[in-house]
Amino acid sequence: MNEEKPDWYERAQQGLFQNEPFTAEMKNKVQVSLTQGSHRSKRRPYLRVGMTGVLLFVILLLLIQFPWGERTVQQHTAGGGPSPSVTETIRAEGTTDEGTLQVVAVDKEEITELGAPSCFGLETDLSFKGDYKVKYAVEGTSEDVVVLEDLTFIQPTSAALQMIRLPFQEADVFILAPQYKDCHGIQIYAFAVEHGSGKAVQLQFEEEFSRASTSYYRPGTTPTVKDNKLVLKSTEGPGGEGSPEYNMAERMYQLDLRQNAMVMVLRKDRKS
Amino acid sequence: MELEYVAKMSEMDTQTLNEMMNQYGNDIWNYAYFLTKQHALADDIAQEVFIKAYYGIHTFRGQSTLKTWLLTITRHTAFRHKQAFFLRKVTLQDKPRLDAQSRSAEAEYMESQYTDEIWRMIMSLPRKFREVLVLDLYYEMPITQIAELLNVATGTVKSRLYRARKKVQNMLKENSGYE
Repeated sequence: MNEEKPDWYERAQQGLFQNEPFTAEMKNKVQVSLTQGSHRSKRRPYLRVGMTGVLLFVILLLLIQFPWGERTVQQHTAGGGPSPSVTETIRAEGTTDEGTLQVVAVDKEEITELGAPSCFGLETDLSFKGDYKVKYAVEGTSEDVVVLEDLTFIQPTSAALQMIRLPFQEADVFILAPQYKDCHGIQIYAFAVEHGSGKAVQLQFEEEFSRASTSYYRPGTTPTVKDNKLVLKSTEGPGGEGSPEYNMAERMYQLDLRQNAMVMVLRKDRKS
Repeated sequence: MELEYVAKMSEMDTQTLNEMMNQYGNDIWNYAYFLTKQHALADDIAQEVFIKAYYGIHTFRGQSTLKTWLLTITRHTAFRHKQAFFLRKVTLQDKPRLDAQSRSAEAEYMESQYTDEIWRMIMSLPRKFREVLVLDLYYEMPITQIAELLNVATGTVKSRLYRARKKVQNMLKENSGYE
């Protein structure tokens, strides 16, 4: 007998049930449930609160001249870095020993206040939406890295967000988390500024079956470097909080500048 | 058709939901059944999984396949139900392979009986062995994906899988002198 795949495997692969257990009736019930909104109202009460909050916020705008009511462009300069032109808004930045990696609004940002607390932040947090150019500036000159289109930042203040700088042997890696809060996972972008050449690139997150420009880490944790590898704490999807085997896992990525990628090399479990 | 593009969605439309249910509905129901061993509960869990997926699609980052993500939700949902309702011991009450009765040929019937027997043995295994076995055998998932889904090390998966196969193998030997 083949220990790897016993011969009874083939028979068992026919399945336990030969009919289709997930019936059209069940599909219909899901649709009806969503249409009636019974789950939505139960699971997303913050939406109602949010709508009310937005309404109150609009009324407030009419009553007082709120400084962001006309969607003005905020000007912020990077401390220690080169001065931006008068039309630029630096939404995020990170400083190397030689220069500054900047995330700059391409056009005017759409700036609004959240208006209600939710997974994404407090009611007073600000949302900045637009296209953003990432560039690396050294001694008055700058080189464009990438344009991130239709990106939304949510932050407590309008000050430029400081990217997380992580020291690797070959480069400084910067982690950009446009939204500082989330119930499930903080979405991140990664950039590297190579030592010596000063070349700045966007990094892709490469895993066994995927390559993506973003990854994530668990809210309440921070990306770190261990043994010259990026360590990101994992999190659970919806419904995971009640699992008895709910364990925090972490993923480790190796920086590969030839591929401009963070390549996942290890996934660890942490039994609580 | 692969639905991996949903990783870029912040909200799901009903057409995508339908496609998702058509493509993965049976897999999700079966997995819920493998975990709970209750037909009616598997019905409820499978529906709940798609409702959760509909509202939680913004949390799917494409780090795993869509199927693995849905199976993860299934697993967590099943455990929630288990915490609520499974304090009592459950037994295998549902009769598998319902349409087996319609078969007339004796050989075919005996074959289906044998397959049923294998599944009865699989379903009698402790949950941690049963789960890795069905993920490997029925879903044909790679070890790494099973490890990711169960949130355990790949070595643990291999060990459980080996022991699960051995247990079934021993039961087959005991029952019918199967070699």
